[in-house]
Amino acid sequence: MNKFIKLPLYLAIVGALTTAALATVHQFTAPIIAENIIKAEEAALQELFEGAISVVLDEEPEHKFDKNEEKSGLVSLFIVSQDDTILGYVYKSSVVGYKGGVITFLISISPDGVYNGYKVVTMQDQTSGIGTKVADADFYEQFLDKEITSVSEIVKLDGATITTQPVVDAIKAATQHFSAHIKQ
Amino acid sequence: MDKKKVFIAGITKENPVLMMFLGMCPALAITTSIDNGIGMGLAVIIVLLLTNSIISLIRNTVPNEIRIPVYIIIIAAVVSIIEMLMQAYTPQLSTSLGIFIPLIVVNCIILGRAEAFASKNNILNSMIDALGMGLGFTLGIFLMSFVRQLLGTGVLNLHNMFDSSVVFFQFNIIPKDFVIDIFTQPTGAFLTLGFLVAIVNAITSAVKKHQANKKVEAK
Repeated sequence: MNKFIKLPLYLAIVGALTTAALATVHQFTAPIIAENIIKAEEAALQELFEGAISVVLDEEPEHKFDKNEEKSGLVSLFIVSQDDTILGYVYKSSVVGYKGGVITFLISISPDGVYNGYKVVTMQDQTSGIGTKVADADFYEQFLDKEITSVSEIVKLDGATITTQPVVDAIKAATQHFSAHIKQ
Repeated sequence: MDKKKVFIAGITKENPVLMMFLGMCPALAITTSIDNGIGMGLAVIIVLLLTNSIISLIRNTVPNEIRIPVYIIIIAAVVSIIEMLMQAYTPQLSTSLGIFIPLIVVNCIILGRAEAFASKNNILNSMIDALGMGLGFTLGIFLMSFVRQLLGTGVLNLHNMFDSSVVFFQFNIIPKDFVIDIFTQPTGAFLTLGFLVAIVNAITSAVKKHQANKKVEAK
């Protein structure tokens, strides 16, 4: 057979077969992966608000984020309450870190405006042992229990500026949104 | 071909990490904990087994001119499948290995074995080669992560990768005040690799000397 037909044909067949295999695996792993992300989000919320047995999540319609805040990574705002007392506010944020990997995390702010830390829900493609440290307690606890105005002084992680900068920016945006819209 | 020799070679004298310096990128980057080391090792063993057997199966039909693109497509597909399965069933491990799972595609061990072995040998031998090479790689990064986790955090532990709440073992060996933090950093990875390779070289040269002496005596 002519080489000009044979070679592309062979590659096309290999490509088609591998695509079929990928599609099949994707078909049955996609729902499990989506479920894992929701589970991680729930576990993160539980960890931020210890002992809150009935965590009620409410999306706030009247506090829409403006374009800049969305650019900083804020996705949605939850009110976490138990019975009738408000336990705190949670900003779900999603930022792009190193190499385009998306980091999704929950930023927690107490009702009186104290930033309570955050919890990483999912993290893609960050350098293990360097960028992934944003999920470690050592990193996020350094700006715990500070008034939301003073979050600007944060020690960044050595060698992981591309991962930490957007995370810090999102926390700033969340605290600013909080003081502008919710804090009385 | 001696099957036992093929298998042993991957673990000992052709060990990818300690003797051939292949797959250095994951070996240096993810070996911060035994969990990571064993997880990455298992992922590479599975990928190698699948790619080596597929490539060995098609070795007589694939046109010589396009064999490298064909191998790469197969390797990339297998790695993507493993990545999806890991995200679904070992989410914790997939988060902590991060970018280094998709990077298995360009791990020179995989393409190297496809080109050097699987494309020339039958499927059984290719699978034995994959198992030997994969175990050799796992042994190398396990040793690295063992040293780094022990010296860097003072704790040795292993979690069930399918359910991270299950701990197989946990030993607190070095008190937190005496750990050497640098071993969790990239610098520590290079130091660990250097010392391990030095030890391995010392052992192999001692063995060679011993064998040479024996030969002389025999004469």
